Amino acid sequence: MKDILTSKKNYIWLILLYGLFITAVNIDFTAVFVDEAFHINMGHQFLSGDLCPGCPFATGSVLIHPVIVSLADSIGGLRGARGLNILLGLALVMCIYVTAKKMFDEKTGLIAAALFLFSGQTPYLMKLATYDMTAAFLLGCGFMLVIISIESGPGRKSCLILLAGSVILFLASITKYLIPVFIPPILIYTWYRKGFVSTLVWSAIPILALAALFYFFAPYAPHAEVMGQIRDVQVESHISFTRIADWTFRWISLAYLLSVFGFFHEKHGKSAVILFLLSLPIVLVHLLTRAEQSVNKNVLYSLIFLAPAAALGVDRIGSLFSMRSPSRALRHFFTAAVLIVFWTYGIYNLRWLEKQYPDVRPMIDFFDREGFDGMKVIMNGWDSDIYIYSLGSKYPNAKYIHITEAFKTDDDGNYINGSADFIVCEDNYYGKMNPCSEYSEFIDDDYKMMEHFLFELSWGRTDTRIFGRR
Amino acid sequence: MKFEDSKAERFRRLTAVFSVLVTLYYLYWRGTETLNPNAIVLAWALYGAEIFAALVTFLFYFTVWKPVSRSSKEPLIGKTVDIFIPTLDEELNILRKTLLACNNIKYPHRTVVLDDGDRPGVRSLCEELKITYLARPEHDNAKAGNLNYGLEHSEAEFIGIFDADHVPLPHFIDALIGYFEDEKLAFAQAPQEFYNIDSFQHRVDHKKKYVWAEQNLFYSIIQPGRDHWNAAYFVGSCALMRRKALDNIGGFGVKSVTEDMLTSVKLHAKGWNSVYHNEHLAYGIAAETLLPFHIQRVRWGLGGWQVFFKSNPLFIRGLSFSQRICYLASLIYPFEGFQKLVFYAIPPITLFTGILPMRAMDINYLLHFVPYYALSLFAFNEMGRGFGGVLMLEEFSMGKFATYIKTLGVFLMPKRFRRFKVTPKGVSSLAPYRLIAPQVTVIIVSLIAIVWALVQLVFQLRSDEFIIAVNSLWALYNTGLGIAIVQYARQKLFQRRSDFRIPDSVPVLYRIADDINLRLAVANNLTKEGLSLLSVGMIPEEKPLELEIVLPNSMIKVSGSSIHAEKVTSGKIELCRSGFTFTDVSVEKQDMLSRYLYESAVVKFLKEYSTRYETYVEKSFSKPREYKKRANRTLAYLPVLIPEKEGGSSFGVIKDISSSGYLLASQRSFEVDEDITVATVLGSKTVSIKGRIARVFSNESDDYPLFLTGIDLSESQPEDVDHIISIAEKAENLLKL
Repeated sequence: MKDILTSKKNYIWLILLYGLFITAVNIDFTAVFVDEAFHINMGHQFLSGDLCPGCPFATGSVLIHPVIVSLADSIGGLRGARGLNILLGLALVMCIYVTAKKMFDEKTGLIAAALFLFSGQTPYLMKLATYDMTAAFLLGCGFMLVIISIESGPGRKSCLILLAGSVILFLASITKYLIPVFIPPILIYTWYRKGFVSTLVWSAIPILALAALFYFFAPYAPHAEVMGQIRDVQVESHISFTRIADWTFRWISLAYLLSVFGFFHEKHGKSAVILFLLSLPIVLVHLLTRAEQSVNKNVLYSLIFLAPAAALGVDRIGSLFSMRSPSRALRHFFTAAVLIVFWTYGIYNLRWLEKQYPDVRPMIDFFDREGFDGMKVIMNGWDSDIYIYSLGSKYPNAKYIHITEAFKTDDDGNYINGSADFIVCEDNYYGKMNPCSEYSEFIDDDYKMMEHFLFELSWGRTDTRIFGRR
Repeated sequence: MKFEDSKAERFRRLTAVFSVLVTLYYLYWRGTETLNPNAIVLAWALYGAEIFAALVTFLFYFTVWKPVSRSSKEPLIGKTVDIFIPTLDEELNILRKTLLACNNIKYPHRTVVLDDGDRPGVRSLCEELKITYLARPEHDNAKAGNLNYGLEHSEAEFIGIFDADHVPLPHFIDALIGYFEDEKLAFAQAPQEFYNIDSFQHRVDHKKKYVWAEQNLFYSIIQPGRDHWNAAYFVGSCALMRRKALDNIGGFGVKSVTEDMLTSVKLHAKGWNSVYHNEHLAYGIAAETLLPFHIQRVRWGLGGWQVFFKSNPLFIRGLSFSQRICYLASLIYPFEGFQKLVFYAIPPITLFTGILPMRAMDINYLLHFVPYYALSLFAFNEMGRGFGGVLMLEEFSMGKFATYIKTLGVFLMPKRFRRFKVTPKGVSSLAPYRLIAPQVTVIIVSLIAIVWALVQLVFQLRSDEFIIAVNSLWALYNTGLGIAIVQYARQKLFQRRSDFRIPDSVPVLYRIADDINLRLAVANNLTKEGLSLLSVGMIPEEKPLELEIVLPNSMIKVSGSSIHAEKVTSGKIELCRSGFTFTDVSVEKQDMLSRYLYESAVVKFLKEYSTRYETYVEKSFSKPREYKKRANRTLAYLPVLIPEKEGGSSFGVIKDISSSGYLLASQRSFEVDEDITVATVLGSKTVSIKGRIARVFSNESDDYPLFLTGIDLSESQPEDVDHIISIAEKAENLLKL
């Protein structure tokens, strides 16, 4: 027992155990989230060979995350799908541990792993079956292999590891089309550490070749529709620079602050600066486009690079705050204290994130109770995937029509999509772009409100009204 | 250190200017856009503290803009000099060391003890050492009054002044009197250096041979900086003063308990010049524990307030603008207590209440604060020329903040309730726990506040997570400062050594009672009451010992008894480190030892320690050094016999050794490339090692000549060298114990 506690190596298992606990214990924290449902549905459609209407618009390839998450869903339902991401998240923590350990030392590896896991984003995205954690895992794993290759010096084995890392980085890039912003900085870093020729041959060319193949031959490759989708998101979530800066750094400012302390690390200060720079692309994308959408998820990718730099910072703070005391106990006290502050900050953020979106279980229950197979539901938001996923087995023929399409009529004044049985109005959240109030002339005459749901969220209140045919 | 007007110097000044501009912008932005209108008091308290920090920094940059390095001038011949030693209640053994050293000052002079304690013991000591004793009938105006009484009884043209614990070197007057060829020079000040590096004011890294002293920055940079502006000031000790100048201002200033600063102000105001000679010419005792440190700083703080409010250099006629600025920089330091209190109080207040002194702590705030703060730290570090040590200064600010606040109270108190206290030196000064109460309070309040806020955050009772995180880190930093002071104060509290043991490496012959054989060992530290001996072979603890300490040019025979012993074994050889106290050492022998210790041993060991670090600019601008690859050397302290040319042998000590060479300390000089065979004494056996002299260094002391000789071992028997190294490694471990 004493050996287990005194061996630093064993602490990584404790950290992973904590990760498992903090995520698994509350895996059902909310109803299926729209992105989860979207990815799972897409995967099922793709695997069954059906038409996949969302695939051309998705901001990640159907080939990676949707496929594996739908398989996990087939095995274990939503818990299975989320469980898969928990495993990927834990594997990512391990990757960060190995990366920091390879770059610095065992202690920094452990602190980096802990910091990454203690941030609110990591456990949150671990228990959300979206593509974020899959992409993060692939990015972290690819970067880890690059670092292993760099640290193992020249040689054939090192080149093969670099090649493997590059392939995984490519996979990360197609899992989520935002990841490629990290590829050029990583290539520059590899060039700086391994030389131009090695980087070109074993990393840049393979990535470019795979990207070209993917673009031209992959099913549902990212063509114009994806760019359109990204542009739409940018336009819809465009906010002022001050707000986007505040909102972005709200999630990672502490990690950045700690990594600044890492700059002053006696031995590895320069590496802390490099990791800091590697973490910036995604932040810059949001700051430059001022797109607010998914900032709090995307900063996870920054954390992959920031965690080792921040770990150096924590180590430095431990030494600094103990006034360079020779007492190890004092240094450990301050290191632990900083970790506790970070953990608390993370727990707060986790709680915030968990209540970021409305938990639509009451609405699902409503349709479970009041709905019927073949029903037509008008929705003013884009969250129909939630109902398709949740109610698909019970009502396979139910139709969910967006409100912008629902009241279109033909030349005779008949609704093209037929009359709907229910209308779901989510004016304050999912439906804020097309509030039901704009369609009141259609709704008021033929529908009456059946239920009004209120949701207390981290950022305020929202509600959903469900109307049924009179 | 030479302060050349080099590229690095110009760059660091540019950095300081840039830092000033950035700071001004930051303060403007803080004042116009960030003060929280809902927490006016808190907002202005922090803003005021920040303005004060900026003011102190600007004044510091101005003061140290161009530090001066001076070299001694040819001494003036035939001048009359009196050395004043004012004393109140210092221990006699401390005073004795000083007086002995005064008697050894080479330039013709008279030493005068000014005893404000009217102690018969001091009178007898003076009679014994043939030193003039003066005790005044009235004891008003503290040290200044005492010095003025001395002036009334002196006819000398120049007055040297030492505190009772400052042991001068023999060339003290020679080094300073040459400056007085300038007829307008009032005084030449030398730094106060302290040899007890285990004091409360020192932090030592024995491994890196680096010592940081709280007053390093002042004596190494601020005083040379002030010298550039003709504003170097008299610090009450280690100075040579022109009698005529003192007469011109009516003697030493009496309106402040820091008579030194007031006297300097008056002299400068009358148009007299000052010089700072940055060479250690005397060694004193730094405040050993928190209590003397506290008493000293209360006095300084009180003196600061007195000068600030009663003789403020900003308004005194006759001072130049730069002198006013330099004095202002030295006068405002007691305000630091309030500034630091604000810095220590704000994080707990914010953590408990959620009230911020600024409108928001957001990315905008950080984008302003971080560059300003980082640049300020960088510029301060550079302008400190490697003597700064921001973290250490912060630590001591934590140690002093309550003291400085207290000084304002003392200043406002009616005079009759005040009592002048000298800084206690020696073993009796133990820090009472109440002195660390403010620091303990900071620690406890900060930790409770952190826990309070974190718990609230976890339970989502608060939503200012970033504010809590940042203030928690700030409070933790303050806690670290507090812990460092408390820890060090406690450590010093339980340090019960009678005197600081001066590290050295002196051959010692010893004979155990009932044994006819004389054995050779090395004393690795000594005082005039005892020594620590590193020997091959155990020395029985219960038996008395006869010791012959082989000093340069003399040998001192004493008896001693062991007080503790530690041993390690290396193969069949037993190494022992024993502590001895002298049992029948005569006063003459103690005096001989005292002279050696303070004129030679202290100088030697302090030279081995660096007091500064290389700054970033120096590293960047200096040419890359060519390091000669050298084998790792083991600290040895093994005694050797060195054959003399005319037969017989002398003693020496191997200070360190590697497979390629060793360093020999001896009283004999050698020629480079000379072959030498020394016999390493390992108890009753000797191991001879051949070598060739590679380089020789001399301490250039007439009284205590010592030669450090680097010897190349490439022609020696490797087995013998390895054997000695294996023993040396054990000896090194023993020395670290």
